[in-house]
Amino acid sequence: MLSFTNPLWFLLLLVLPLYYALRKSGALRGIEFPLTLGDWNGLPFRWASPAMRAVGFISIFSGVFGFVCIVVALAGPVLFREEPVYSGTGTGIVFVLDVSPSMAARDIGNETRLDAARRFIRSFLKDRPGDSFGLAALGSEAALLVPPTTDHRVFSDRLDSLAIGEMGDGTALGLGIAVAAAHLANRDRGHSCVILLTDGENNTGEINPKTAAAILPDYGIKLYVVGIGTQGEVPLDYTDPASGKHYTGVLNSEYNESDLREIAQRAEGIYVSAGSADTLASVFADIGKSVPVSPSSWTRTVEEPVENPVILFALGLFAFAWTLRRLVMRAVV
Amino acid sequence: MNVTFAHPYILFAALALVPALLVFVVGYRGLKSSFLSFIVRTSGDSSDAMRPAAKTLVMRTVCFALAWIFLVVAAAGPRWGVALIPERQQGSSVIFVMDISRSMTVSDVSPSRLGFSARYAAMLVDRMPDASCGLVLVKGSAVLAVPLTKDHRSVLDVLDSLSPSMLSAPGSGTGAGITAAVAAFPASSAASRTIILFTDGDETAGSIPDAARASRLAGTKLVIVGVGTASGADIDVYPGSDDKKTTRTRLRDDLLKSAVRSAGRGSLYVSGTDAGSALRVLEASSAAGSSSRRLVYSPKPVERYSFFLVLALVAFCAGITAGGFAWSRKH
Repeated sequence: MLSFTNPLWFLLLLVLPLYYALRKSGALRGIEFPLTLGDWNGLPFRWASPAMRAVGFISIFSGVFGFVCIVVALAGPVLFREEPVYSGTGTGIVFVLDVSPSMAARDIGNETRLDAARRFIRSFLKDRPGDSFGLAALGSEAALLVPPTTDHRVFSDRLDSLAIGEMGDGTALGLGIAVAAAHLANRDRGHSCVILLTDGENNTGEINPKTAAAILPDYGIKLYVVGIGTQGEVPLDYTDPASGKHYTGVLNSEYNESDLREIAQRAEGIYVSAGSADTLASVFADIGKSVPVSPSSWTRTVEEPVENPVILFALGLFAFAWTLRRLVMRAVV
Repeated sequence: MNVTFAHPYILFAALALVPALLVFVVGYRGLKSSFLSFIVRTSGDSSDAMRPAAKTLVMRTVCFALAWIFLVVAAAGPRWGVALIPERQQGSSVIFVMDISRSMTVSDVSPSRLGFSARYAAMLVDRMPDASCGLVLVKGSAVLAVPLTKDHRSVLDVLDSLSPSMLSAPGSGTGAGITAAVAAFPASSAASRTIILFTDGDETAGSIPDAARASRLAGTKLVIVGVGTASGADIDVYPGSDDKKTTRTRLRDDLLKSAVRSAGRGSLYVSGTDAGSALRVLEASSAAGSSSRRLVYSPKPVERYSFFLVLALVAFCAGITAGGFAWSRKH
């Protein structure tokens, strides 16, 4: 809502009719050069052309409007908006993202599996400003890239920079779950969850995924396992960040859903399969419903001054009026 | 009085006066020569014929030029002074800024300035169970190593492995660390904001006082833990080279105390080796205290654009009316 902090300044607008009255009464005049009428071999007198009169009017209008803009800026235009404030860190949600090369398969619409996952994570994040988000990546190794944080900008930046193959070629699901659990263990029970997005079966790592999943209920951590991608032959195109080699071709995509389901069951969690953008959207919607959004502690009224665009506009109007008068109408002042 | 601008680049618009004045001078000369040649032809005497008009023209031009300058300054968003704004807070958040420049590797405190800082910070983290903690590393540049999190383990892991080799940028620009820490507090958080800086103050960029002042205006509290001794220790300038040259690095507590003064009320300087310093740091950061709601007063910069807008209006009106009235009186 637009409001003004010092509306009394609007009284200055009365200067405009006052100026008009002074000019009309002759108390105030423009610059004149009194000359005796006579034949001075100059050009014959001509009325200004309609175009020039229009230019004159526009320049005066710009000057007057610029004056009005300054008065408006002086009155202190502000926009008030309500902003939620969060005193806690909300629910801790750690996304464990599989970044093995198979996630480069392009079978979720026109996107790769990783890009689709990223997109839905970003929209999930947007609706939960009061929650903490963490990011872990897994390949042949697993690592926590961002601890659960309310600084969503850092989370988003790291999510965007995540590259296929940066954790090596492999799928260490157990390590990924364990890393996430280790960094959520200290949170209040029932206020944390792990969302694992993978397209493969565990084939490396020192920790069995079922063992890792089994410890989650002890710490009150929920687990959601999302099997992403389709089965069968899918196009694949990626560059290995380690070797710089470019791979392109067709991947015979297959993973054991029953293994992923069992991992979820061990953690008393949920397994869902998402083979398309629509199903991935519904999966995230379901997760969103089961993980409550942290409410704000209170709202604060933020006063956002908007005088700067008004002053800049006034500057532009004066510059425009000057250009018309000096360069088009050839007036000296 | 320290004047700052929200949009300093707008000040360049004042340079538009240069071509504008050139256009005026060229136009004025053309007008003068036509006018005088006509006067000479008709009356034969050109003395003083142009003077009243010239006076008015110059007066108006000066007034309009001043109006333009004041308007440009207003658009640039000038600020000076601070006003205390009430703000509700709940909870606390603390960002540790660790100076990992090479001067921190000397051993005038045990085991080294860096090792001492890491242990000290880890001990503080352990005593802030309810606070969100983050970590910024600073050397020639600054990087947010751990964003604000209640996962203190992530902070402790990085503290365990501190080393100058974690950042490649040479030098020591500790002020950049304070700036990075200020930017790392989410705007929507109601928690108190404290920056705890561990440094010997031996920086090359000279940026600490300005950054401390800016941190105050961002509503953060700055606590500086000075690490090192006044007598200092020698550091190898070119490590690994045959050219053996050393220089002495000391704790610059004078600089750090002055930075804390710039950072305003509630900020604190302690020497890390002083007994009880950690307790003072904990008290200042309000991270060990209750999580109840409280009302605090945060300093905010005062916008001064209206002052320059008034000046611009006065100059503009003077340009239009004063010249007109002067001419009117003459004739």
